[in-house]
Amino acid sequence: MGIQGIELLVGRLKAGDEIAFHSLFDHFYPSLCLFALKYVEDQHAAEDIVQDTFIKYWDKHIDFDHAYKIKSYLYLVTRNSCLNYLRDRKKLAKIQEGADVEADEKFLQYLMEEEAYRILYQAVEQLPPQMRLVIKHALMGLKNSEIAEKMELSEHAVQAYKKRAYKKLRESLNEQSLLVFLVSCILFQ
Amino acid sequence: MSLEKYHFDIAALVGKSLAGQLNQEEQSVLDGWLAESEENREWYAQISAEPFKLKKLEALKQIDSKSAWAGLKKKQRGKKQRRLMPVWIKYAAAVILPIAIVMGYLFSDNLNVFKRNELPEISPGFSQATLVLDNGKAIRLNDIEENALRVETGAELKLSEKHLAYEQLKTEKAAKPVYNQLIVPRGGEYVLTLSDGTEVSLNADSRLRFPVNFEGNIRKVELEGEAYFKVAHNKAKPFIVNAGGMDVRVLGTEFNISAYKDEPAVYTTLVNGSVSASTADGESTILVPGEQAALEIRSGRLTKQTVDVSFATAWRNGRIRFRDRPLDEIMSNVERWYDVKVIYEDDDLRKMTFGCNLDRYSNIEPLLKVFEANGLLTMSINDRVITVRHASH
Repeated sequence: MGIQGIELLVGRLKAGDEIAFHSLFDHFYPSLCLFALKYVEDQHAAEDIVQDTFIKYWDKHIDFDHAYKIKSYLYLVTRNSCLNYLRDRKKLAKIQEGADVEADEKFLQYLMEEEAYRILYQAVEQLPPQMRLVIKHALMGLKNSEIAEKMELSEHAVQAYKKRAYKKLRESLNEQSLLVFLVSCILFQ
Repeated sequence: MSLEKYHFDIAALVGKSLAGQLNQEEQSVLDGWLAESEENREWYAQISAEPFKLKKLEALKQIDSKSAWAGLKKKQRGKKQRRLMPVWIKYAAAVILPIAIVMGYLFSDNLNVFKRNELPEISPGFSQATLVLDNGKAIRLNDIEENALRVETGAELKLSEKHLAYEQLKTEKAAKPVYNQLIVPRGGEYVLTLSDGTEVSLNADSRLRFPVNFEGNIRKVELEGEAYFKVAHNKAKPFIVNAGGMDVRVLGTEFNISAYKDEPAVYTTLVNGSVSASTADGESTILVPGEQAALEIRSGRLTKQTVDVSFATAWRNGRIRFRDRPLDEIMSNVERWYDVKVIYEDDDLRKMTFGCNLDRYSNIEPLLKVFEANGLLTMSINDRVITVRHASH
């Protein structure tokens, strides 16, 4: 499945396909955990909350017709569970009442940060190991010569890896970019 | 503003831009969004900074989806079973369970079952040592009477709980010198007075080999580990400590030597008087009070520096005292004194620096709390093994 490929999974998820569910989990679990950690600051609790989110989702998987609705559900339920967790532990100082979506200013930023990095991470992780390493160094702003030294490769080899890696990266990132672009055009008219 | 599909689309563009893969149209859409508000621009600048990228990708990698999926499956199974459980079983369990607990309690031969959840306590070291005689016989000093020890050693001596004191032999018999060895285990300390009146305080995990009587024109002992010496003054007979490749030569003075085999250097810190420290290679240096000689084991290099001696001798004053030292250095002292083993999740933790000034004779907890107080690490104890981990965020 591609980076944004959950678009393609929606039908199977709706039909209750376990393998599709597992794919969905693999793609979103790390990002949702980091998202939960913005609220609860306890790794174990965060992971617990996210697992429960997926269980809740799977209990009502039939209700979802669109990928973005699944994503929205996962983030919203995770956030609400985090707030409940904090409330239960009386750690909630500032957000006491009316903690709805609108009131939580940071929520959208947290979500977009995790989504952006989920897409980057999944794209990079799909690369073969050598290419992945080259790309990771390049993303950190290293020059070809520096990457070559770090990886004990010739500069030429680094260049070749980079070229192929970017091509693959572009392919997987583009799986949905047409869709994104169309939607964005409409929004920004 | 509430959550819309639009937010996911912008996030997807940001993800692509982080990979440097936006085409022209996409770039202009993103630029349009960034132009909308200062808030958007600030957010974007923050999350696209390179150190942030690195941290984020690492954090994502750290999360173990595989075992989490297994955990989820387990939870799902538990949930199903709960649903399948008929109501009458719940009521039955409500009655039977308390009875079972009470029965279990009554029939258990160990009433301490309820204490099991207490934190394991690790107590400090105490006075203990073993004396090894010339003939190889080992005697635990905590288990023997003064008179019996006199018979065993053939020496004039006094023995108390914390202190063994040899006395000068009245008869002048030369022959060949008789050597004894005092061994202080991990979690121990002990004070020894040699037959010339020199007092040696030994720290945990240390051993001193010494002649029962000092013959000839020098007084020579061998040290492994750490000891504080108060050398009895005798101009005619210099006192020499051989410690891990460093020879420390004195007339009469007070100093601390730390010569542990698992440490990178041997240190001699002078409190009073004057000593000369030399190496097998013939290097030597003379110390004045407040100076410390260090012999680096690997290179054999001998160096000298001015120090605050109260840190080197803090252990003798019943303190665990450090200023701005790496955690692993502090913990290697702690390991010897509390007889524990410390393991680190990774090497970054070893190099975090700390300071502390605590009672050496209290349990280990307050010390561990000092380290945890910076919020960056956690320490857990299991069966005398302390595991140091990064605090989770």
